[in-house]
Amino acid sequence: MRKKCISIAAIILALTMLFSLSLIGCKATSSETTAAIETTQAAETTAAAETTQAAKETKAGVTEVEFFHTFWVPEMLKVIEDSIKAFEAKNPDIKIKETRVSWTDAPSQMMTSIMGGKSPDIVVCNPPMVASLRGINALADMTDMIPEELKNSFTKSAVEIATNQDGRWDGLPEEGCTWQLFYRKDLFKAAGLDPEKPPTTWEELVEYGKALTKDTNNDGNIDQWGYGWPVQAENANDYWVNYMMQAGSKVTTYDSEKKTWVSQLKGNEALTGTKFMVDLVRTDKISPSGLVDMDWEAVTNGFVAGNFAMMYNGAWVVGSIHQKGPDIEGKWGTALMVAGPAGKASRGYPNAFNILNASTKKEAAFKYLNFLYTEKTASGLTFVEELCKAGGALLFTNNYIEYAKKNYEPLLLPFVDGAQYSVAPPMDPKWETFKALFVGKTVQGMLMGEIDVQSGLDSLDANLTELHAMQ
Amino acid sequence: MYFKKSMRNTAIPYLFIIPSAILIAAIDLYPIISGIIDSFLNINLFINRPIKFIGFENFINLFKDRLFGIAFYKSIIWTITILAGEMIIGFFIAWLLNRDIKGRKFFRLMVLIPWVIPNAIAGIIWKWIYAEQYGLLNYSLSKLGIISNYKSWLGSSNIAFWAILTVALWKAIPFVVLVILAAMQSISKDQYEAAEVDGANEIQKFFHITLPSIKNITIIVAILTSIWNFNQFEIIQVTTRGGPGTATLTMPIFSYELFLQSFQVSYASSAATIMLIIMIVPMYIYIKNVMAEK
Amino acid sequence: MRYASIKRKKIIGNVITYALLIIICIGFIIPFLWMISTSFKQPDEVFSPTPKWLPREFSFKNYVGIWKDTFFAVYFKNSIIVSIITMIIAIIIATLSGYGISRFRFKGKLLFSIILIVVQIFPGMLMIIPLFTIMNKLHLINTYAALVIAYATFAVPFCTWMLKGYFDTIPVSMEEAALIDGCNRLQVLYKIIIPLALPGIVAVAMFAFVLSWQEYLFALTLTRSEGMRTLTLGIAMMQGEHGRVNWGQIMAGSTIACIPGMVIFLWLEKYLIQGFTMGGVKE
Repeated sequence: MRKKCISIAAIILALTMLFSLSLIGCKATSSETTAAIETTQAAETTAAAETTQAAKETKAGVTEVEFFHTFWVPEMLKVIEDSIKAFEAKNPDIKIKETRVSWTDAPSQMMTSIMGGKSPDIVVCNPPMVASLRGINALADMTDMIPEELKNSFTKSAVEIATNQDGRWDGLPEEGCTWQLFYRKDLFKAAGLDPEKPPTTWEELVEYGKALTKDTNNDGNIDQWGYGWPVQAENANDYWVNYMMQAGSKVTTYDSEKKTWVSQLKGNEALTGTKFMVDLVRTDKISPSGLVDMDWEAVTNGFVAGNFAMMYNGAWVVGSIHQKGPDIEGKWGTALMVAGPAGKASRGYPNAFNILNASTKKEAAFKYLNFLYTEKTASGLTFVEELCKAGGALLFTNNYIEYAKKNYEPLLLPFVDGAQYSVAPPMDPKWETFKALFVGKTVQGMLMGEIDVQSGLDSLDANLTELHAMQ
Repeated sequence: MYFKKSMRNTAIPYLFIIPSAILIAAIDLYPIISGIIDSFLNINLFINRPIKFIGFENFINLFKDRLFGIAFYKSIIWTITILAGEMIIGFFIAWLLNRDIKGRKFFRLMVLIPWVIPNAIAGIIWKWIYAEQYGLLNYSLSKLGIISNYKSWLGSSNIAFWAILTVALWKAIPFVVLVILAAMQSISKDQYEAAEVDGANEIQKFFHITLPSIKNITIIVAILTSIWNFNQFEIIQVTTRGGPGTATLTMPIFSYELFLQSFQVSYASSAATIMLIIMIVPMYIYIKNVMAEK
Repeated sequence: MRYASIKRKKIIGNVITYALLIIICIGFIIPFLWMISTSFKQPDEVFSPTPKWLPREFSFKNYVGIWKDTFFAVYFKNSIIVSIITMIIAIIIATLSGYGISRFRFKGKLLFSIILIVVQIFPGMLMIIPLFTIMNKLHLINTYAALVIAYATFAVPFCTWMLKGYFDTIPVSMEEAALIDGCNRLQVLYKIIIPLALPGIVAVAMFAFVLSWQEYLFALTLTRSEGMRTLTLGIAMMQGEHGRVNWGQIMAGSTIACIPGMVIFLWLEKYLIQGFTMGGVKE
């Protein structure tokens, strides 16, 4: 044993000598090596300095708050930047550091940072992410921080997202979006439909869709589809859930006695909604199965090119069409998404600002959030309202909805009106996992005709139930 | 080429090796071993629970998991198809380049281009080419009259798998060409001349002289590229992320989903461990051949 | 007569060879050219129903735009820093151990060699889960250190094995003479071996640089902020779901990302081939 220790010590000693030798060594080449090592050291020090700086507080007395968000519209980013400048000017002891990430990468990036012990202070979450983080108790309770007045300003659906099962607030509803129907008036006319009367029910959607699905160049292939929606990646989940909700399904519910979530995918409503969605492609044939590779932008491109006469898409797409399709300006319209058997229930929810439990700067973080909701800009709107305006999005407060009705361009009005009918996805903490592993694959498989609706739903129900059982 | 005995000293070699040995032990071997250990635990970042040893439960669950079955199957088809494709096409191009032609350097350079493009970037480029609306492929094919309607290349599970496989194949061929061509060029001309005197044709020469001379290197390149292809993650991740449906769900994508999208760390580790087990035999053959080559 | 027919056959054979080679080359290079072409196009040209091979004008707007309007410059800086640090660490350690394996016989040499070979071809997916967990414990997620360590996992064994092969080709007699003259072994390494092997060392260092430069999976897992992303990862993330996808800029960024690999691989490719036959290789 002792011998071993000695030999290890000898090795370490030799190693040290070896390295020092390599620095002194033969004169002929030593300068080069030293230079190289110096560069390494220099580079490492800079790197280290930058990381420490990025990680925690900088100079004495200044608290650095990390703000992790998913905004991407340039105009919205500008509002964020302006708000940070204004806030820092008023609060020289707090510094806000932005971290931008795309929606697709947000969950994994957020989890890696939480797990890595370098969690950001403020995060932007969509409802499923709120649910997941809530499930692992990662969100800070903000109930006592948020002024009552602010709490009361939000719409009911927004409050549902921002509060947990016990009614505690762990988020502030912020910019949100609703999803509605886009349609091509020119193609409606060409198909003999009234361009001012878009469909309002499932049945009408299918009926109109059939009239609009055409082989315009008579080559035996359909090149104009009646209806489309994005199914690529997480879209598959988001829209599928909504079709089920249009049919009245609750999708997954919380059993407050047993304190567990229960899958409702076995219910008739879930079946009706799923079947309706799949039939659009498989039976009614008013949508192509190629949707499975389409994100919002690909569907929009198809809409602009005339391949889709109608589509179900988000509010931000209005601006995108203005940009992409100057040729079809005036030839397209927007309307409330059609109602299912359970009435109007289109996609729509606010995202939320959340403060993480792991944050050591909750107060400074909340100070900034509160600033966003109270500080007015030159235009008389608060920063968070400016943010929503810049993105053509909605703040889910009655005040802002009134404002938007008066000020937004006509094409956006259905998206504003739709806020009152909008439904948010289920707040099941296991949904994010469920979605990542099973939903996309199964929903896309059903649309491509590889899995039939009943067995697809059965397997999804089994998967979700199994996830719920995991403790 | 070693130092003479008198120059040797038992401690000295270790001094040279130790920095690297310590580093490799710390950053390569330790993670590998701890990954294998993880696969017997129950770590799941979305569930707060005590970590404990659960034996082979993860592995048993994997074998019951329908998705694992799909990923395994896809990975095997993926690897074997690319292997066959890269070998046939790679050999053919190498053989063409090995002929007595002018401008060999130029042609060789052109063929090597895909090899030097980073995998992730290659994925992005091809995604753009496959795009349904503004993509080059649909436009060119319809211009040439091969298709009358724009196809959704990544939008149906059959086509998507082969479309992405094509990208991986495109990336894989140049390396095969490079190595096989170098090996072919090292075969002495005399053998061919002797065969020509005997009246052997091109095909006979290929099978009787070329192939036997480069057998060992062929095995090495086949195994090596297969290991790479089996582990191909980047191209699939930036193009289809395993979709649509389960069309391109190979084992690396599956493990990644388990790991970074649902945070089932232990379950993902067990999937990765199975990948490791699958690769043991090819690795063994590879090392044997590499050692023999020396 | 017979001679003429052989000659004709040869000409036909050559024509077919060239024709095939040209077709193959076009097939191989089209995606690359399309990337460059798109990188010069403005948005309206990019989203044109009739794509053209040549852009309307060769303006560098996308290159300027990606540099100024996005985080591209930061990604670029990160890639340079991480790749260079990895390269330097790897090459210093690998020179020592490469020399050691090349020149000495010692117990455990075979095992060490096998480990070196295996670790190089070890798939990133198997490494990344435990690496992530370890970095997590050490609070290194989203730092340069995490990336450098992760890249060293393949760069060190790769460089060691490549350099070992290179040292093998250098005759041992000069060193023996120097040793007799009283130089110690480290001096021998620096005075004699390194100057002789410098071209090889530079080549191997360059490869280590490019391997780190092109890496995607480790960067995807170990970074999380814009400020830490590397070039390939940053570009791949630009085509995220909800971003306004600017293909012209993405292709401009991709073109820049391809340059180091292109120059170094094509320039020093013979070293790779040499190393490859001896087991020194990483995709």
